[in-house]
Amino acid sequence: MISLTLHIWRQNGPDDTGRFQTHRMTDIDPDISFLEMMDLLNEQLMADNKEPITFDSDCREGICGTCSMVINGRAHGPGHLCTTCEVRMRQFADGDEVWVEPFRSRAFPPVKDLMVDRSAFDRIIQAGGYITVHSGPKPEPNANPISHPVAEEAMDAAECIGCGACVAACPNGAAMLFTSAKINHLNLLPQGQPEAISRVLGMVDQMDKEGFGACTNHAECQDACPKGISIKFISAMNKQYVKATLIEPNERRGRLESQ
Amino acid sequence: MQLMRFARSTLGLKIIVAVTGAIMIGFLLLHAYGNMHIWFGAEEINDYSYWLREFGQHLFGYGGFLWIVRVVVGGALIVHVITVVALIRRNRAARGSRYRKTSRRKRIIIGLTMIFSGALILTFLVLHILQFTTGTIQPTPFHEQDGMGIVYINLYQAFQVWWIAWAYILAVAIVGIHIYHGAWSVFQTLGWNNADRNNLFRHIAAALAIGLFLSFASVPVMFWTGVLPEPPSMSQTQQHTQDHGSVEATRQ
Amino acid sequence: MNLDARIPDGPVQEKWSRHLEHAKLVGPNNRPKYDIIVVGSGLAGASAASSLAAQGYNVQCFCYQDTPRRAHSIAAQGGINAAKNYCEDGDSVYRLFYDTQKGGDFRAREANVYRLAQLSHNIIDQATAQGVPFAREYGGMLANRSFGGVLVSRTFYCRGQTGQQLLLGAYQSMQRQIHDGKLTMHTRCELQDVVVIDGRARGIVVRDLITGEIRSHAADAVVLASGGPGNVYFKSTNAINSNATATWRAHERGAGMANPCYVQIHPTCIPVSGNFQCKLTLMSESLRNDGRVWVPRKKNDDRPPQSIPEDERYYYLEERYPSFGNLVPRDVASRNAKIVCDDGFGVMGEGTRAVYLDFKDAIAERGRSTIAERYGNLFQMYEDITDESPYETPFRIYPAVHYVMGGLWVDYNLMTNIPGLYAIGEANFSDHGANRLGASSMMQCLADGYFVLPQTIGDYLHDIFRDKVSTDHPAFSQHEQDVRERIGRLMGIGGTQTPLSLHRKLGETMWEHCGMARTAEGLKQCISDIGQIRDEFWKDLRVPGTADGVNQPLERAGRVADFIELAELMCRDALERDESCGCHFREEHQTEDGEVVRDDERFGNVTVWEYTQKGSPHIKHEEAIDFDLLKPMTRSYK
Repeated sequence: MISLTLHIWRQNGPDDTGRFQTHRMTDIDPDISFLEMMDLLNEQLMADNKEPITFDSDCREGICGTCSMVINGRAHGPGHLCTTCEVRMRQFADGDEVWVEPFRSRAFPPVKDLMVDRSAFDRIIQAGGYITVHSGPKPEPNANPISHPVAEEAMDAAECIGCGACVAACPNGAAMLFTSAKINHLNLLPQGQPEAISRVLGMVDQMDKEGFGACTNHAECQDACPKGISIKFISAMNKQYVKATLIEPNERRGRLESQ
Repeated sequence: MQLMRFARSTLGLKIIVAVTGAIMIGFLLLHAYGNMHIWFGAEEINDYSYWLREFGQHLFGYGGFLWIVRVVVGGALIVHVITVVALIRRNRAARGSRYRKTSRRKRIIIGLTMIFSGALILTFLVLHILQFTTGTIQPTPFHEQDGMGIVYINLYQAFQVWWIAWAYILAVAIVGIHIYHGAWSVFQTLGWNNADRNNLFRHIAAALAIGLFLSFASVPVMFWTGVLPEPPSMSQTQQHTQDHGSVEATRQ
Repeated sequence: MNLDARIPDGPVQEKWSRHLEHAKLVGPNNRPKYDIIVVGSGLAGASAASSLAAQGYNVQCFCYQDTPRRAHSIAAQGGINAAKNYCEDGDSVYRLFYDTQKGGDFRAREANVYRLAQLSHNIIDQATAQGVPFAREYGGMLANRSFGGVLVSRTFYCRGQTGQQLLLGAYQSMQRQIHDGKLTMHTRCELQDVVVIDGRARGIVVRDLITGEIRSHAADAVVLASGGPGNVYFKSTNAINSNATATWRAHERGAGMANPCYVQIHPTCIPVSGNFQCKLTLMSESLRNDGRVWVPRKKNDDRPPQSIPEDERYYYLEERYPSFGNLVPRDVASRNAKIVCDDGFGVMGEGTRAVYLDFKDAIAERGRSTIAERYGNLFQMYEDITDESPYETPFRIYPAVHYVMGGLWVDYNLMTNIPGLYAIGEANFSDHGANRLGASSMMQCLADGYFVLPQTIGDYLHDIFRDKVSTDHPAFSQHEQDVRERIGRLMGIGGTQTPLSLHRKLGETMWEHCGMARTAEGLKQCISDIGQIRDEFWKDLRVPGTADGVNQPLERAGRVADFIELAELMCRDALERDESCGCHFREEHQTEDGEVVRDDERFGNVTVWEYTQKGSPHIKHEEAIDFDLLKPMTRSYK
């Protein structure tokens, strides 16, 4: 059993300035998860007639990407390759002081306490992160073989859970890792080729419009990413962007340009 | 129109920073190559300073090539600085509020301090040019001939002053640090990086940083420690120049 | 209650194609005049919303998450079935139909199941075209693996994240439609009521989870794709916010609830470790491809697993079911785990009930790297949670609530008995009978969303758009008023217990009495427990804060209130289905060695419950099931 001092960010709404509130938690079973500990804290707060802490979480198994906390200065906490909901209390020592903050970035406006608005990611996808198909008959998938390594690399990129830890960890609040993972997932595959150019142009432009910062190649995002997505995808995105803006002839840039 | 789109986007700006940075690294390599002549004495380095001006003189005129290099590198520097400032403004805006507590890896300290190392290098660069190229500031007397500084004697005198020697060693160390992150970033930003090459690129960046540091730092160190001897007298230097002139004449 | 399933005539194999040939359509120029509401953005909701929008309808989609990509379909791990027969191992549409029917213990509609098997092909084609990076062999062809309850390899997968990738495919298609302005997404909105006017579904009332605003949305059709109610059990593999509110409110407005007692308990989950746990983590069933399930032969053996010699290990699935071995269907595997633990053979690590799932032999045979490539992320996940490496020591697993086969009753067009109200995916009851085979839930969700609903909804829509209803209709303000009153009631109780603690109580009694094994006595006990919990809830609940802003305890309170009602109906359904079938195991009806005994005479049907009014018992209806192609038989995996 361990005891902790928790400094948790409380913010009543987007316009509130926010502050830390300190709570003491005792007799924590080291096998429970961090969020279960937060649930317990909320139960205690409610028992004391106080307002519980608002935080996002859903699947609690590290795949939905809903949970979003910065624990002791690290997005998703002390673990490696895991989300906040996968952090276990055994990763803390008895008597630790723990600072819990929301994901902070201009493009992720705060909602309440530890909850932020990450809809900017959806808008980046809307700008080209898809392959246009209807649900009518399709070619037989095996008619278009995809080599194992290419499929695996596309999968490496596709594993992104859209949690926003890359943005939270980046000193510049950049969404390069997210955007590049989504672009490369589709652009690596033959099915993604017809829209490859408009995809990279549209998504990069949207990323800028949302107010995300620029990459300074610190690789903090790669370190924070619960799915271990590599910054090699950022490099690949840059190359595709140069090709799309400076090399491809105008008429190939597709429907984004015609609007 | 695409060029404008490129130049306005964060990715485009980053690529511009990388390309201009790469140009300046290229210049530094040339500069380091030139500096190495000094290891072989006054004659070598002074010859080199003439060669620089004579190179391609049929096409560009005497000193023309050097001016082209100066314009290209100076232009790259100006664009580099302007773009970096623009990116920093964007990044500050994107960051929003700061964390109460941050825990970062050690490696990225170099990355995070690029702006400071860059600013220091810029200051150093201005002083360096004012001291050795134009002779505007003269902590030690500036010797001039044929409209340019006499390299060996100027260096010798300057680096006999302990704080100038140390300032230069410190400055080139900062250059090395800046290049360590910068050179690897060039590969990453221009899209050449991948998992297989990443280590190679990191090593290249380290080799460039250390190599440039050692070659630049060797100059003040060798003058300061006396490995490089006191320069020949002014008359000898003049004599040499006459010889040099006659060689040119023979060639013609 | 009209329970005409409207199954088309003709042989089972031709029903779907004939149905399509005769279905009424809405022309492309008229589609933009129709508004369709889709509630939920998981595989079923996202695929339906994107397909309908692509056809030209005006679609509005609602989800409680902050983005549609986070719906709990994303957590499906193992894979998706399709009768492609790429492995040339005897697969066919009929075989997939046969396996699903048999797996469901002959409690599903033949016509629906056959259609599902036929459409399985299209799903793989569709997903591949969308850029879902299915695992490939070195030659570039799609790879397959096998799953429980079948003798062929027909499961397509993307590492251990197949659900994530399929959902992203559907989500991306949605985002494309949003970009084109055909689809409007309302995130962080929870359905509070379904508006039925003159017997037709005309819209919904939602609560904006950020502002607390109660809002109405009118439409020509409402599609519920809100998932299943597994969280009735408190501890389940569902996301903690998954809920039954949408389906339950629809039920209260007149939609029939079918077979609510069919609850799938998944055999391979990480065992319960403590009292505060609110979520159980699933380990993909695909682990049973290579892992071997065993317990010590000696009771209460507390030696570490490595030191138990081979001949003292009881590989109970392999011994009892030689032909399917570790790959028996989920209900069988779960029940057997329960039996061995009840008998005292369980692995009693840290006071939990568990059995071993061992990869020792697979690692020795295939090499650690092959195993790591196949299951690496699952091994890692297990290690993160339990601090034990499955490469060194076997997984400890135990069954947990995973999926509910029952749901809103729908006809062949996936429409509930309320015209204009559709239910797709886990929210309906249609395709899995009394037990669902692995890798078939995603198949059903996507078949419903991409291929069935978009082609059957026109049949309802084609003649209704002349009498459009807007939110100005008094019924909407009446419904909004009801919702506000209900929320006011929840806020105003002012008791002492939190929604979470009451939810936990409900879950405990449900797991105890309405879980893997049920008895008449236990179910009656459970119903009386639920009555007590309901009383406590409405007398002693405390919801802090206010209703006009983010209030997570309020959200949970609303969900728990509906879970309590649904739980009671589940118990009643389980009590009145006086037979064992599939996952519904009534201890009164079993063979000597603990296999299920069905009663096809009395219960070869679908039970559909009709809500009457608050406090009155439900009315029971039955829909008979026809067996034309495959006669019910004893389900044996021996």
